[in-house]
Amino acid sequence: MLGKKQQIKVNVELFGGLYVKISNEEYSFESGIELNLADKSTPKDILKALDLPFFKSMIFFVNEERASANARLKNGDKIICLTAASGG
Amino acid sequence: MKTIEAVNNKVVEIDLTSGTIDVITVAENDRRQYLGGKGLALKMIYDRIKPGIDPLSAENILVLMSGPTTGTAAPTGGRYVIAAKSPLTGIFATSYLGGHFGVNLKRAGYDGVIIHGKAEIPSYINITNEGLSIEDASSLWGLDTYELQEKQMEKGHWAVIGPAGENLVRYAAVVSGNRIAGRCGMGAVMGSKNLKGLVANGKGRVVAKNTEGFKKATKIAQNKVKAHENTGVNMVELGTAQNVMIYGTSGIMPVKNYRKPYFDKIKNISAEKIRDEHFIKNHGCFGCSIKCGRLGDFDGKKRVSPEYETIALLGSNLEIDELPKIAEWNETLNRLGMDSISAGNTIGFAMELNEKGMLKSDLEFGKTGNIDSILEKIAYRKGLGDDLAEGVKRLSDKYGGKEFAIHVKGLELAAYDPRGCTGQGLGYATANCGATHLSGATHSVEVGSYLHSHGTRGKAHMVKMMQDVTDVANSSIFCIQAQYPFLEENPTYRNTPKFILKFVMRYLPAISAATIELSDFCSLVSGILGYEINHKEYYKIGERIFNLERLMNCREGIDSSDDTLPQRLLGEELIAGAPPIELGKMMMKYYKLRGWDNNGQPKPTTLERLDIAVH
Repeated sequence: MLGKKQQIKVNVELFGGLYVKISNEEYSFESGIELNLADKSTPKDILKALDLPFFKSMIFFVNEERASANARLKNGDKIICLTAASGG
Repeated sequence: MKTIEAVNNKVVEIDLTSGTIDVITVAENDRRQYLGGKGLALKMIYDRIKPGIDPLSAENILVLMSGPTTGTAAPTGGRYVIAAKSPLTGIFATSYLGGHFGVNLKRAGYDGVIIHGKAEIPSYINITNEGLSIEDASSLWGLDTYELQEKQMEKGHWAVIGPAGENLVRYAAVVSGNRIAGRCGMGAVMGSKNLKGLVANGKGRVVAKNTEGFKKATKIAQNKVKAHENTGVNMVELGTAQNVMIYGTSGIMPVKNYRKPYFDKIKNISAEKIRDEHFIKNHGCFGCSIKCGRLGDFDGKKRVSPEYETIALLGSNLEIDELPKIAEWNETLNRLGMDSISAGNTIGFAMELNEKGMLKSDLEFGKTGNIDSILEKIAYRKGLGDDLAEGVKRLSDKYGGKEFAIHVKGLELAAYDPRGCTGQGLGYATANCGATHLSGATHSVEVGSYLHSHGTRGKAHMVKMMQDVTDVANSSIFCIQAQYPFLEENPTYRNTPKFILKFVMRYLPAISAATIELSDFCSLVSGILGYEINHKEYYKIGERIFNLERLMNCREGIDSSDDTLPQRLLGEELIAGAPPIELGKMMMKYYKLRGWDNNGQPKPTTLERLDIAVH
């Protein structure tokens, strides 16, 4: 199938400032949101798809493992995106 | 309105035993070397206290000290420090809080109060622009902190203890409004002096020496606080509880007395949940634009919403996911006047003792039923509460379980498990007062992956730098929340790609430490003082204060054997395959950077370099 771009489906959960800023009505606190993305998308692409800003202090987890903002995602991945931490 | 200089150099010295009140002038050299807040409070104690005294005796000295910024328009300029020898740890301690007492003390014309002795009857200290007096507090003794402040509101703004302080609970707090100086038992020291509280009703207008310079610096600093992602948005919207999901997901939030990395019901106790289901409004300390505090509706009751540390220690650490209960316990702790960090750790330790049959009780992980009553019993030292009022270390001395007693130098850990941020472990092990998160806090740079969460690279430099910066910030005084925008909202940090910052922090830590951005701290403080303090001088003040406190603690018997972590954190794997904390390796490097000998004592050359006068 040359020329047809493959898609992946991932589950995304947002916390911290990202949760405050998400305006997508499909997003739920309990289950996050399912997103269809181009193959080899990254956590940074997720933010772009959801119209959210990116800051270098953000933290990402893919399937419960720490990941960089440029990690390549696979179909079925569960991604958690968090904003920076501070003192309590 | 009377104008009062932000650095007035007048400190009140009170002897409760004799009832004498003197006003002393802060020596210019002390002000230049120790600035105010933490630094000046410790210097005042060092010059006056005898080594080896019992912290709960009349010989202990309690100091409440404002900083140059207190009462000014500087960001977070509402804070003050309470310092004394701690009854929980037996070494020196400082505890910080906002609210309005410090501001009113300054407005009354005093930078601080030094309290000696013990009153014959329950007393309080009344502070106005007309002067000070020691008053009879017999009718106030026994009241909880909220009750007292409500009933006596017309007198001014209070710093008070509750029943826990009166009954000498070793982690009793001092409460001002609904802000708490929780750590290290400053409330018990106050109680041991028969002192229910202090009330200040100052009327003056606090001004900086260099009005124009300060105004300019304040505008720049306030804009940074508003522009920063954390203090401008996240902290405003979610408060400190935003850390629940960050640290809970990172395996750093304590679970079941530090036995598990993750709490499966974490979302139930998150800031996001509070925002969606409980939030009523923000509240904050004097002059603070962040307003990280919040009021919430919890099961129909309007309560202060719990902070991150409280949620972690009374929530995940006890395997409890009911936010309304945690909010209720938080209010109970505030009213009784107790530190939620030490209380949560102590209850968690007692739960594990019970589980192992070492101290039978009705306290069980995951069960909320008996927490209400145990908090009351601790405050009034009744039954099992009398043992729990002693804290984790003494509880383990009596009943065993030292291998899972989570404290450093007798102070229970703040809510960051260092197995997921090993630099924080070094910070806990070397912080002067024990396992505080307010000295050498590296958890955020480790979780943010600037430094590797595990391993040792760059950690010693980062911990030392953060400790020194925190000490001078706590002497200025700036809240820890304001420190992030001051450090990060500058073109160098903002425009440098993350991989370069990571490289410098990990492989060129000396450069990272030397180039830390302190210009806002310096400009604000210079404007208030009326003379310039540059980056190098400002940093050196922090380093001096850290070493003075170390020197004071060494005089009390502290040495390298005390600079360690709980056995569980050094010996038990939290996440399968994760490397252990290499504390010894980091410690060697740290001592060298500090200029301490192998036994952890500051070398004479170090004390000389920092102009610390030893006596």
